[in-house]
Amino acid sequence: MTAGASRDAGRRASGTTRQGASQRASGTAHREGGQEFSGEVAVSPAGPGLPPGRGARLALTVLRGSRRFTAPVAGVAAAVLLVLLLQGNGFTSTLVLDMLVYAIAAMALDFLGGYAGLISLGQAGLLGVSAYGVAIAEVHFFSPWAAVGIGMSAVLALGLVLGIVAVRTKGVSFVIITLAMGQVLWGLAFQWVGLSEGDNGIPLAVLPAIGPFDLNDPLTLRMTVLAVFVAVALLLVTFVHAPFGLSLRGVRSNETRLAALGYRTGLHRYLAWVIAVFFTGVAGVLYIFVNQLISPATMAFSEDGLLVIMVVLGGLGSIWGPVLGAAVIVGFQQELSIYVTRWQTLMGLTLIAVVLFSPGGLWGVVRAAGRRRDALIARLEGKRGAP
Amino acid sequence: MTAGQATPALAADHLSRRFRGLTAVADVSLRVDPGARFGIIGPNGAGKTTLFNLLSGELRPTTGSVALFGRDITRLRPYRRVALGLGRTFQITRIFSDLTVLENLTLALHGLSRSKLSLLRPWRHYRAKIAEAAELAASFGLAQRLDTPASSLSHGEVRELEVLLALALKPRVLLLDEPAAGLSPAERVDIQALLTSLPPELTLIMIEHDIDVLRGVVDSAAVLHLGALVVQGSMRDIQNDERVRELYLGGAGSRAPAIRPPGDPPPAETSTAETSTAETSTAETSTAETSTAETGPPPGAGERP
Repeated sequence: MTAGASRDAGRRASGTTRQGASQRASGTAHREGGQEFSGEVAVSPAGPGLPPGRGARLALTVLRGSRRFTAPVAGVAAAVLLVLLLQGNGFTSTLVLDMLVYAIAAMALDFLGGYAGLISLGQAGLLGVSAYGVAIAEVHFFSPWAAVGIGMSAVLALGLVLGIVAVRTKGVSFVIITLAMGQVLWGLAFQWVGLSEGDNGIPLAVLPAIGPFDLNDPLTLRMTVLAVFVAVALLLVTFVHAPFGLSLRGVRSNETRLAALGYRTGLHRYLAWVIAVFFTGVAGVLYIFVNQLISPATMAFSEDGLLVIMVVLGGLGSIWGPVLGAAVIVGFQQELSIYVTRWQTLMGLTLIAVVLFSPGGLWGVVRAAGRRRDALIARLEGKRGAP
Repeated sequence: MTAGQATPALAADHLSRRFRGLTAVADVSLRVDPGARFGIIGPNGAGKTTLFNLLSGELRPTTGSVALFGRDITRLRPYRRVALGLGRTFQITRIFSDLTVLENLTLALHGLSRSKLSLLRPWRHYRAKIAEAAELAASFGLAQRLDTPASSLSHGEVRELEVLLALALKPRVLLLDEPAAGLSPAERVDIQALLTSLPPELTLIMIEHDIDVLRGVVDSAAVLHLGALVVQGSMRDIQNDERVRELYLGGAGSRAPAIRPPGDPPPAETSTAETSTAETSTAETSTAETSTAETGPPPGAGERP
């Protein structure tokens, strides 16, 4: 009996210390890493704070409103802006289209790399497979819709097979094995001239159409690309918030532990790979729709590298970040290269700067702002809640 | 509970594992009855963790077999064994440090259900699972820490979380690899309290360096040395066993003995709570002896009558 009582006392004592500690941490719920220190100071009761009063109440209302509405408002604004930009026939809409296509590929790579921890250097090769699939099918007199089916089937079938080998590895081995796979695909496109027309590439003459919905019409095509982009983004964001997405973060964080919790981790990595390959294939189909030409250059090693740079620059493990990364990189590639011959140097310096100052990439800046806001809200709430 | 000849919860049969020239586990046979509290003791390098890895499936045995409630699981991979009710924790703590406490527990709670492959419904919308996670956390003082990243928990809290992850799967047999390793005396009391509060039908097998932690929790134990089973029996038998005392005191010179015979005064630094726990457990061991006698005779180690 005495033993039990003193045990309880011990637990109670340690319980109170824990409560104290947790109060400190509650304001920094979404904190990652140790960089965000300000929150802890802000919430501690003895720390500096705003005087309670009308000003504080107003600030709290504004901040809470911003927490609630920033994301939807920004989303709608971005959509409206994109629709407007895609109206014209000029350089801008072509640029935005390219950004959207690469953003899809970058998001797919982020799903694989940022969540499951599998950074692939063969994605451009897979993107090329579906693009070539569509073009080659059409050259062989398949209808445009059938060509799309063939392109997607080709990349999925290839992904299902390659995944069996690739997903057995992880870390650097996975990077190397996917790099090798991508290079083999590039080599095939370059040298299997009978099928791929070699270095010249294959042009695509006719795009699919059903009734009034005709992708050969430039505006319809642009709006379709935008719609597909939005759909892929929303799907991937849904996936990463579902239990499956959580399991991928578990795979990345500690695979042995996950297996000891009943997860067949190999299956989870394989599924992540297949999903990523599928969406990369979608990007490939849109790529050839937009460019109406596919050549080995699209599958080259430098393109694999650019995709990884888009993801890292935008922010690994955020889905939205790589969209920003794709916009910046494609912008550099196409816009800046007109004015600056050494645009690659500038791109490299930008990458270094972002990685140095914001390890979470461009999206890390957005996240940090959100965390600061949440910390401020918690601080103001703490002031008001205090007796 | 059925008598001694009931199917053991976990049985190892002539289990061996060799790494190149080294035999880490040599011909170990164990029988642990359902609901038993079983300890595995031994000096560093005795092969305790290797034995655990063989039981949980992280390693395949070179020879021998493992059975869970009579079913041969020797060739099953870890995740399949978990589905059959075999949970484990790790000596080197393995939690998901990038994830919050709630995310850690949610992962564990989805571990045995089909929902772990669900793609469309956000995991935060599984209200039953979230409530269960909160309840689990509350059962062990982590209720206020749900949204804290696991990387900023204290060492004691991490060990607690590790045990909670394993408990979330409602295992029938739980393997604990040094749950109290590196904990302060106060934290040890916490973890002991958790272990003694576990449901009685749960079979518990734990590795422990420190026999004081075992004393409160375990009723029988096996001693390993250089991969082989030295002795298996009740805690009292173990503590009185000459070979065991030799093992711990033998080459140790003037170092403090890790195993004290019952009745010896505890070392000064232990807290009062711990002392009283130890005392009650000594009383418990005598009553629990009948059940521990049922664990089968280990090969090569003569059981005392």
